[in-house]
Amino acid sequence: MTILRSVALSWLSAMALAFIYLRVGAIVDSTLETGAPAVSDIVMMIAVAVVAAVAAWAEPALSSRDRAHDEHTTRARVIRHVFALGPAERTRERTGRIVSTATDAVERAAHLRNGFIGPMIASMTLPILVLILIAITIDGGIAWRLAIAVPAIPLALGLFQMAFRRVSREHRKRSRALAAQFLDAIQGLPTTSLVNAEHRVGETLAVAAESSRRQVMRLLAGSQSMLFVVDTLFSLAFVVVATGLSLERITNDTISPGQALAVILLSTLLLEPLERIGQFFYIGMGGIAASKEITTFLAEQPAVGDSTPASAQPSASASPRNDQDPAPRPDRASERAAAVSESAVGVSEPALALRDVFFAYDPALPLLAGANLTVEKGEHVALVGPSGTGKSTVLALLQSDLRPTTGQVVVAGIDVATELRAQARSRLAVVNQHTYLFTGTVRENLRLARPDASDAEMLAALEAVGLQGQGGGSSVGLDTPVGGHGLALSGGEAQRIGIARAFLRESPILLLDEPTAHVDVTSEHIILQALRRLGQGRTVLAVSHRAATIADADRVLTLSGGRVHDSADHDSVSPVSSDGEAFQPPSRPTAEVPVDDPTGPDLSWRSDPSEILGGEAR
Amino acid sequence: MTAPLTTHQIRRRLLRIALPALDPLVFSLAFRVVGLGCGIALFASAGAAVGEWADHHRGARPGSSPWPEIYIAILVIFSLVKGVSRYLEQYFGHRVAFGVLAHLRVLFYQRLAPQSPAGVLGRRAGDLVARATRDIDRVEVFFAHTLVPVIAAVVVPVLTVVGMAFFVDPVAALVLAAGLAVNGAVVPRLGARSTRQAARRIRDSRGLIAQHVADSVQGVRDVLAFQAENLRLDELLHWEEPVATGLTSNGRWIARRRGIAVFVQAATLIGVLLVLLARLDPLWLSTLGLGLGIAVSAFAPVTAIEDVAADLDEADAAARRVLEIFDAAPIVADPAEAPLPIPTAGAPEIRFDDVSFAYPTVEGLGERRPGDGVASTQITDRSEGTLPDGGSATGDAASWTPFPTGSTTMSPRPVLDHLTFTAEAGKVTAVVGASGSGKSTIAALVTRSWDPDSGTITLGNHNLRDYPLAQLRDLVGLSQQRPYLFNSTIAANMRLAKEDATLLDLETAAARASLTEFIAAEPEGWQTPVGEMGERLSGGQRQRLALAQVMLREPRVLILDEATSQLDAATEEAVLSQILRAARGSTVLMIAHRLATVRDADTIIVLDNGRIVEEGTYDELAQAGGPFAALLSREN
Repeated sequence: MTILRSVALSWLSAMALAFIYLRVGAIVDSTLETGAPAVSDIVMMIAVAVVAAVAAWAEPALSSRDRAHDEHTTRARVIRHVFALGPAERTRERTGRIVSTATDAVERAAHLRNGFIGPMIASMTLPILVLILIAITIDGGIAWRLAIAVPAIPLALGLFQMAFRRVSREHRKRSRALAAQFLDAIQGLPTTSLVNAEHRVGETLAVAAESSRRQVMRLLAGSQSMLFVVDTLFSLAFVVVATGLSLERITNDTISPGQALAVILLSTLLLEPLERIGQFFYIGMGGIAASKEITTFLAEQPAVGDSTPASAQPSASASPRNDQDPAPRPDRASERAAAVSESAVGVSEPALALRDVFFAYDPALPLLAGANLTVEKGEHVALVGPSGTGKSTVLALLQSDLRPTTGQVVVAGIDVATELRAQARSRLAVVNQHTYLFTGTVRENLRLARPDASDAEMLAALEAVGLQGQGGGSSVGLDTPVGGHGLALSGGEAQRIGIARAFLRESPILLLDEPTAHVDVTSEHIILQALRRLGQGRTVLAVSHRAATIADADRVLTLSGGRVHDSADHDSVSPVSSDGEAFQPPSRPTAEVPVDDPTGPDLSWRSDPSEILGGEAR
Repeated sequence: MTAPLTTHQIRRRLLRIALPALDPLVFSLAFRVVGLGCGIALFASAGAAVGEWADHHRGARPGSSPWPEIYIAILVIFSLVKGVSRYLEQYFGHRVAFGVLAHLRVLFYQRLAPQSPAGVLGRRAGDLVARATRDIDRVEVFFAHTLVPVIAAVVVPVLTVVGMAFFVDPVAALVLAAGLAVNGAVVPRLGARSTRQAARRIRDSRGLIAQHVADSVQGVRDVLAFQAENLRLDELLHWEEPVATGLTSNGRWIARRRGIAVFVQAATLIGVLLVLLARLDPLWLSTLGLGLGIAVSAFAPVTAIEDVAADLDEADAAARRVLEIFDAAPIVADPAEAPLPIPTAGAPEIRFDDVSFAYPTVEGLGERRPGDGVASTQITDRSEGTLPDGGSATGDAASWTPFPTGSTTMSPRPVLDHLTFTAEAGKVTAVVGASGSGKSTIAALVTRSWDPDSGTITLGNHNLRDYPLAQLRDLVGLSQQRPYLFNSTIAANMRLAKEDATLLDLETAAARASLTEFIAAEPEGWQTPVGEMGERLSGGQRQRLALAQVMLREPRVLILDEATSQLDAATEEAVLSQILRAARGSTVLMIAHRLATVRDADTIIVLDNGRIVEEGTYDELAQAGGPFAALLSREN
């Protein structure tokens, strides 16, 4: 639509000019006959000039508005897709590239679609319209014979592309290599200067830059000769031929002198594509590449999709999620959370459960193999085990960041495979090993947990984690800048912000993933206190290998060998011996959890995990 | 930092800097003038030819009729000269472009080198890369593709008007001059200030948008856990509003300029026509055709610089950012006085005496400079840990930088807080602590990546600041947790550390870092390319290669900054014991990742929140039940 409008307006503006050129010829003829131009002719020409001006005004005025809108819509799609892809390792690793897609590529693609393609198409096709105008108003013969040159336009585009290809293959490769080398030198500079090699690297860089420059220039000298060919081709094919034909027609008395002059004026419009070819290749190609980049990113399959509730099965083969599908508004989510905490969690259903869960990042190394876990409502349970046994994976499964290969995951009494992911998540509050602080103030970071929280509520949450009020000894206020541009917080304080978020969240179930693993020793006990308060009245599943976090757990479960084992009494858990020996989990089985099925599970019916993970979770 | 440079100063300085590469610019300009001139001459002579032929045909002019072949020949010549000129203009333009590019890049590196490592580590990596690439590119565009068209847009119209006055009619020339002046000088300035401000707002907002997007990507786990997807999208919309307003307002001005320009162009043609019809006596079509041909094509050079105001503004902003780097003072510098005599033999001791340090930081969010956020793009990929600890409270060092950009203040949170300790000569001293405790900052200070804010560090009884940097760095070898590898071969990366190393040297060093087997297993051996930022190697291989680099230099002070953190426990133990054996006699400062690796250290310093909270041997500390024991309990 936008493009059609752009084309139409660009055509209108150019054709209005063409009409003026025609009238110029007519006035010359009438003056030759009558001695003076007619006033009505002049007035009409000026009126048409106004039309040309209005059309030339309207095109950019309208498309720049659409461009802003297009930019926003496309960027929102990219970001939604980031959320759909979830916390896969690869997403984090590629932050730079994704940011570039969501910013640079989005801008260029929006520019391409709004205000570039339209005028471009109009310019390239303008000669055809002009020739039709000549045929109708001046002389069919001139028009037809000039039309023979129209294929010069695609030919020129082709020639340019050929030249461009050669250039892009060689010169672009070289200059990219040089740019990369330069970047390498800049980024490696800290290393270089620590080994006193900065001058050496600098000299190498200068030599490489010079030799590459020479090579590129030699190359360009050849391929750019296309410029000469195309430019001359257009001038000869349109202007010279138009002039020659006009001379011939004057001799035949087929056209008047004024018409002949009009043909010359109109031939300026025939050169229009020539003026645009450069732009087409420099801006257009960039925009097209940007659009492709966006499409490629949006085509990536999320590791976990929302299955449609009706067709969902416990085996939960993930269906690709529609990235347009908006997550429920947070306010609705928290309403639902409240509803769940009051009614939906029946007495019969546990708050959290894994039932016969199998999971593997790498099919050869199953991480969970028939894991069973039940946490009743209100219960505080610790899940311990050495690192790498899949504790964090259990939490990821409960949060629907991952889906089990087979088996059932229950959150707040509901099988997560039958729900939208957002619904399972709405019942959970999580404190991770690292709390990510977003650029902005503490207030903005807390609002993440509850957008409509009042200042008083946020201050209360800060007080609950010891960041406010007496005794906290901390100067953190709601307006303290954090994240990207504010460094005022230590790792321990960042974790406390994370816990404050969980306070605001008011979800019935709390998941803790070793929230004190990386904090300074001094603030550890403050954090543990805050966590204890946070856990009151909530169902808690804490993942840890440490005694401290699990001190007031009702039950301690152990994860090893892909299964969950019950340890009846966690007092018997010797956390870590003083000489640093690894924590040895007791492995007393209980009746509730089958531990060793001698036959082992039948794995033949498992679907290929890579199918579910989209081959990219790891 | 002194007052910001004015636009005028910036342009003058840039011209001076780029001068050596600007010679071909003259040719580019000359050929552009010729090419544009031929373009006008082509239509002018076509009009004149048709007019003259018509004059003769209708018998308005006496004399013998000219040959049409001559007209055509002239037109063909103009076409050819125009084509050749356009080619040569571009050719010389590219020569300038690549010349300036190469020149600016080399200069950028040379100016940055003395500021390294602090000047590189302290800036957000993406920002520095953006200055080194996008901003330099934009400056290049200015010289290669903006300057020449602007000058030509003045020269060619002047010549055209003169030609019109001389060959056609002075009054018609005045009309043309008025039209050209309006489109060339008045129209581009319409709303220029508003456009420039909007462009600046757009750039700023784009920077914030990029930061917001980066946060959404890196914090996706938290966004999902708190179901803040829509909150984030709403916030994004909020940041996008100024972009939308700016684009729309800019679009409005562009639209007005285009509309006016089109009208002026058409009106000028009509005006020239009417003047000529009224003034030419006799009314020779040859003259009329010449005049109309000039009037219809004279606007091309002016139209070509339609958006030049925006380009200039961009170039200014880019140049400002590049010059900021050129002008920045090194954070650490060589001593002003005569260098110290190099300590003769043996390993020196390292002593920290009441040392405090905080990373310099940008104050507040308002300091964000135009366009620097978008840039955070390329490098954030693998730039985690560009800062030693303390830089990042949340483990997202990638997105974050503290550094002097505008006004700087000290971070309120010192990373090292009145630290006093001694790493004895020839002994192994280990530093342990939670992440963010300040461990790696100790390494950064000993290598003088930064200087302490207060207190002194001495090396072998001499203040660190009294060592010439080159000498200090010969003395002290650092192996980092995330070493930077250059995109070349294993051997080339090794030889970076020691240029004249023999193959035997390399092999010995590799053996000490347990790298021999890996190199032997690679078909290309020492010539194996490591890939961009060493990506073809695993994290552990990268670390061992960095260790081999350091061993090659045989430093008297060896600092291992979590240098083996990516190896599995068994390999780590083997590698470390090899390294420590080879480094026997050197002073070793070991920043530990796993506590098991410091069991044999002579002294262990426990750091928490920038303070030393415990000091002793492994066994003493493990028994003490203090912070060290607490850290122990965190490990399996």
